Amino acid sequence: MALSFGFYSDAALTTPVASRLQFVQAVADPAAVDRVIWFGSPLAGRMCQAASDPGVDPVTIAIADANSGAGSPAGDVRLALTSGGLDAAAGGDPLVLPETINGGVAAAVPIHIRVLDSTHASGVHNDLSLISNALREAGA
Amino acid sequence: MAAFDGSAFDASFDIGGGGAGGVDTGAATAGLSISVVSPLVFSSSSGSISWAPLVVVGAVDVSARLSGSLKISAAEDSARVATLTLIPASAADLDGYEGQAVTIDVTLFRTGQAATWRLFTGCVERSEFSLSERLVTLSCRDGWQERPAACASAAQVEALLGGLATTSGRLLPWSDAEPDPVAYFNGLLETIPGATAIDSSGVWQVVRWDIGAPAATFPAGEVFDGSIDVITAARADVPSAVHATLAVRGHRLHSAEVDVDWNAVHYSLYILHGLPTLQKATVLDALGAVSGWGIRGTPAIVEPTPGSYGPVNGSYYLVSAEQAALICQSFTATLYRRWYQEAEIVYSITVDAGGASSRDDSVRASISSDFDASAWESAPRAAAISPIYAANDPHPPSGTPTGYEGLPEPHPPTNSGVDHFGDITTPDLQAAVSQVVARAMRRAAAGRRRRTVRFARPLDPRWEIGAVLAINAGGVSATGQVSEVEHEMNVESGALSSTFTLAVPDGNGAATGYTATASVPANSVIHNLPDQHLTNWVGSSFETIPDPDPDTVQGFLCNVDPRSDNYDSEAPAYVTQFRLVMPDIAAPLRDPLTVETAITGAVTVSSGSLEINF
Repeated sequence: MALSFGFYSDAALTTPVASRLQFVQAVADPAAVDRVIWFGSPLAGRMCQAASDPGVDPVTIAIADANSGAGSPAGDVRLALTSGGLDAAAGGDPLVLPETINGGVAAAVPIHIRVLDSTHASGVHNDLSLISNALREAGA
Repeated sequence: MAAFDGSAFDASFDIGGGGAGGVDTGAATAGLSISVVSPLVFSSSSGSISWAPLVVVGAVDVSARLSGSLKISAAEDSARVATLTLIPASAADLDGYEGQAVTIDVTLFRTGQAATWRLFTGCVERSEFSLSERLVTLSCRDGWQERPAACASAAQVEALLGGLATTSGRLLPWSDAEPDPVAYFNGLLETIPGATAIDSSGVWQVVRWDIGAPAATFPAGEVFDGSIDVITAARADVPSAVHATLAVRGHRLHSAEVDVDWNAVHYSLYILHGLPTLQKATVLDALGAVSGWGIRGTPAIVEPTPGSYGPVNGSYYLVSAEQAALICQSFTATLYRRWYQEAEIVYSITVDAGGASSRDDSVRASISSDFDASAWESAPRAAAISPIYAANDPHPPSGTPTGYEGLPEPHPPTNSGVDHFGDITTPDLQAAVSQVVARAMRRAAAGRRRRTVRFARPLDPRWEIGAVLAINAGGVSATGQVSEVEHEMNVESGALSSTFTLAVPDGNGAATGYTATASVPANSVIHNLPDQHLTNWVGSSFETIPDPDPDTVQGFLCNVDPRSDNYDSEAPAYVTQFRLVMPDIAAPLRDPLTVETAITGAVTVSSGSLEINF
């Protein structure tokens, strides 16, 4: 079975992020664009842990670059658990979530994303993505 | 045993509270698309632009199968909808469209520039297949209706409205036992100085109805010729004013006191006329039987001094100690009455809605106190003294006795009244008043925002609901806020356009908002009921008044002994009694009461601009 845990575009976990999250940047003098998505599961009886050492290792969200050297660098993306945390976050750094994340709307974890283009190269860059570490989902 | 070790066993038998028992592994992913865009892509200067749509239904790219026109439209407080037509790959596809996730992107190309923009994120609502054309038309919409319905708490609903809603637990309560998030959302939506929408990327947005500096201004060269319309609201659609009223139903509680006193006749009349004495029990019975009135504390009854009085005409009036203990020589007492009036405080404000019609709109709401005024009024006074101990009560009452011990609170000031609203607190009142005014504000703002300017230009997906744009073309100069947007792309002709509707309200401020405060009006109730100085009324006497006003016949009513020289068999004879008639409470102090008071506040509607020259 597929994981019920994943990224959702709303706090109520009704809309999974099924296609690429879009960020628009101006070529010249781009301004940072912030967006928040949620990580969680709408199933209240489930929980999610890192598969490497469940309950000990944290769940992490990394920024993967499928085409390093082209498109956008991972450093153009910052992740944080709060909007205020985006200022202090380092571009390209993974985001550390709790060791155990329970299912249900109330336990959804907001993930704040800030994108600020550094390439100033007109075009559409689809090389970046958010990816969690290997996860183990089970009944809570 | 090896078979029962390891993760395979754990996974097979792992069950969770309420959840499915299986263990799943994997990773969560979400792709990012960063579109680095030059504004030159949206320039209408001479040159050529090409475009390509990317439509994904479910996980299938159907872009190559599109046919005809592709339309996307969005408006405030409603779902974004998209309509597209495509050639199904097979008959089996027809069963699989409904409910599938849909994204629509467009990539614009201009020499040396490219921009990809998402235009729609939603799901297929309905599919219609035309057999003759072998085309299927998909009607899609985003999750604007589903988002509120998925909320599990009041806080989640309020968060959807971005903190702009004015809440009132009295007027619009949330029930954890029977949650109705949609109704709660719709109720709160009527109070926000703005609108909601889901943007093209599927992100819920709350925009304030504030019109500041425009993000872009489009001159004539950026707008399609003949596409500009200026629309004013029909007179019937916009009221001239919105009256907002909040009725707060509670009680005005009254308290009044009347002092009562009486003195016995001279002892000689007992000898000469054979008058009876007034018994203490008769007095107490009479005082306790006055309808609606109670005895404050304990009446002060004075007994006669035992002894022999006289002689009068050779006779004596004798009072033994045993008789004296039963006789009332004089007394003073205070009788009280507490009663309530149903009181309705009506708070109101009138908001100018800017309409030219003579019709007024109204926002009405009411809240009611749960105070049981009837029980408050009728509760008997409890004794302050313990019924167990005759003396040396181990738990004597504290403080100075008031004579009102045991009566339920509140205690209005003596001979006055107090407005009591039970469980309605001052914050409750303020929140309710604010919500009523907020609703009036939104109606007024919505009415004024019906003045719109609509124009079309080449596809421009940069602007979402709430964006502030300006136009200066075709003799129309206007600045307003995008309230509707429609994108249309024709796959066959290559034509593409965006139509924007700008709300250009004739407002009265820079921001849409309100202020509202209300307080309970002071009452000036004073009761001044006359004291009752009771007397003695002797019947069957030559001195008996032949036809007194019955209302004045109060006190001790008795008759001359028939053996007395003063006995008159033709004079009116009284029924022996102690009679007490208390003053009436005037109708204006008893009947339901309505007090009108104004809400102190103001409503502002952010103003756009519109100028027409031709």
